[in-house]
Amino acid sequence: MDDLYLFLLDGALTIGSFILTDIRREEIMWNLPLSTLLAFITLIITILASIIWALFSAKNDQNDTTDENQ
Amino acid sequence: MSNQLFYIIVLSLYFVLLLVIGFITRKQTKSSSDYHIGGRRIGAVVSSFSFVAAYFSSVIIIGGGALGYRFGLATVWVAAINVVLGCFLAWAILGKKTRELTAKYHSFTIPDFFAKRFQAPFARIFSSIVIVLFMIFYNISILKALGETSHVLLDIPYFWGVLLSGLIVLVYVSFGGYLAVVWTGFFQAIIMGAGLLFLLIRSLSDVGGMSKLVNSLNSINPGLVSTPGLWGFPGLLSFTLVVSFGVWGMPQMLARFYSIKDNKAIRWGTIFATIGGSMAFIPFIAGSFARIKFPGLENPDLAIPLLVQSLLSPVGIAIFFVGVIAAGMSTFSSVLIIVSGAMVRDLFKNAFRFEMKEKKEMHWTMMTNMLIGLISIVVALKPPGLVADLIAFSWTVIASTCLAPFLIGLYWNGATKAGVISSMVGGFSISLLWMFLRQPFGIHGFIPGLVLSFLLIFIVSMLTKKDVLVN
Repeated sequence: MDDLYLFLLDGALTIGSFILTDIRREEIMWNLPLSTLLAFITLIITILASIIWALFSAKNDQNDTTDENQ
Repeated sequence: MSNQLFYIIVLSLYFVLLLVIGFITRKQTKSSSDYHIGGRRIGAVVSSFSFVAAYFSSVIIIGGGALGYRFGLATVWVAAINVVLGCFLAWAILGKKTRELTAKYHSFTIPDFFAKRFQAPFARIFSSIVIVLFMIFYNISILKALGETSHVLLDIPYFWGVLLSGLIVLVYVSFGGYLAVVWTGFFQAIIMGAGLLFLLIRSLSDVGGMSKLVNSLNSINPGLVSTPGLWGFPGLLSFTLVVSFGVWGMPQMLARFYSIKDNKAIRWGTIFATIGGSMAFIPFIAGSFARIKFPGLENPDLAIPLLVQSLLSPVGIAIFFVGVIAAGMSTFSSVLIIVSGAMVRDLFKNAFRFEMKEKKEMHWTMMTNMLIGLISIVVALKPPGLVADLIAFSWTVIASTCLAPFLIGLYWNGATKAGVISSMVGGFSISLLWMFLRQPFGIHGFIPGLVLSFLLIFIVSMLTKKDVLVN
């Protein structure tokens, strides 16, 4: 149990200090080389694109079902 | 409690979980449809998570770390394109169509789809043989990564690491079939993601943030922070394409679209797979960090295991180790079920017309799983080459053979039997030849293989269009 407690405490402190130091100092993104930064931006755009695609696809499927029923 | 004993307890618990899943799914597996594709009733979360687990195997974690170590931050582009092409676009473009057409043709495997879609029995035989032979290379690379990780992290000899992890997979895949593969894959993705995330945070925390990582890499060699940097465009681009676009022709990945239950699950699965795929960034960044921490490593495959050993607490090491084992096992199991399906269902039953009823087919598939798994384990005990090179070799040949006919089969009715066969044989031959010539101009064999297979399917189909099928 002691091991587990130390592990959880260690994890929480690591994540906490990571957020408080790096993100608040805005060192995560802005000091990256442009090409690396673009790779991360590509990731974010792709996740958004997948959500938008799913919404459109649902609408298309709904229209197809309506057409078939008519 | 000693660390060694603690690791063994965690690992044993994990193995018990896998065997329990194998046992439960065995009870739900009643027909060959259940055994090969889970009866086409798998939900979005399980399908997408197991897709990610099969995709980002220990090969990507260990091999990706090695690439990050050698080439620095340019390698994050491999991960970015993995997410765009290998996850999002693969699901959006292939998912719905694959499900619809494979259900229409009642096909459980890729070779079976080729045979029925193009009425080309030779395509079935050829693609089955390629899948069986080259998937074994892939299995070997996975087992090699598992053996190396257990050796460095847990001080378990390489021999026993390979043997133990390989045998556990053999047991649960042979008994539980596809349902065991996807359900274990689901849990394995979660464990893998947790292990990787923890490693990333500890690495960045240790070096003092992303900026300091960039500065330190820059001081070693400016090529480590630029793109394409030390790797060069031909190498980076071709490797990225193999492990991203190659997914579109890999049977163990496409099986997720056969087995998913409906269109709604495909939509949700697309989002989950895209988000889950972002974990691919971590090994490359961590590998770059290892370059600072352990300069001059002779074997870059050891970058991630050494990093884990030096940064994480015993509990963290245990979770990460189980994550890597999980990653390897999920892919190994996915590949095994595909290989045994190709051998028994496609070659023995459909091509060579061996009489087999459902029960006998399942029995033979189990036996074949065991045999192929054992062969992979034996070869992996003395494997050739770097993990990342082995994976690129097997992916190249399989994707060059299957990708073009599969994609065209989904979206174009103009392909003919002759077009499909020439595309398969041409893509296979040129990719293999290119790699034997040691990849002229630094271009990976996947590029000429893919280009030629697409050209051949279009040109030969046009020339033989009187045979065109109407579907």
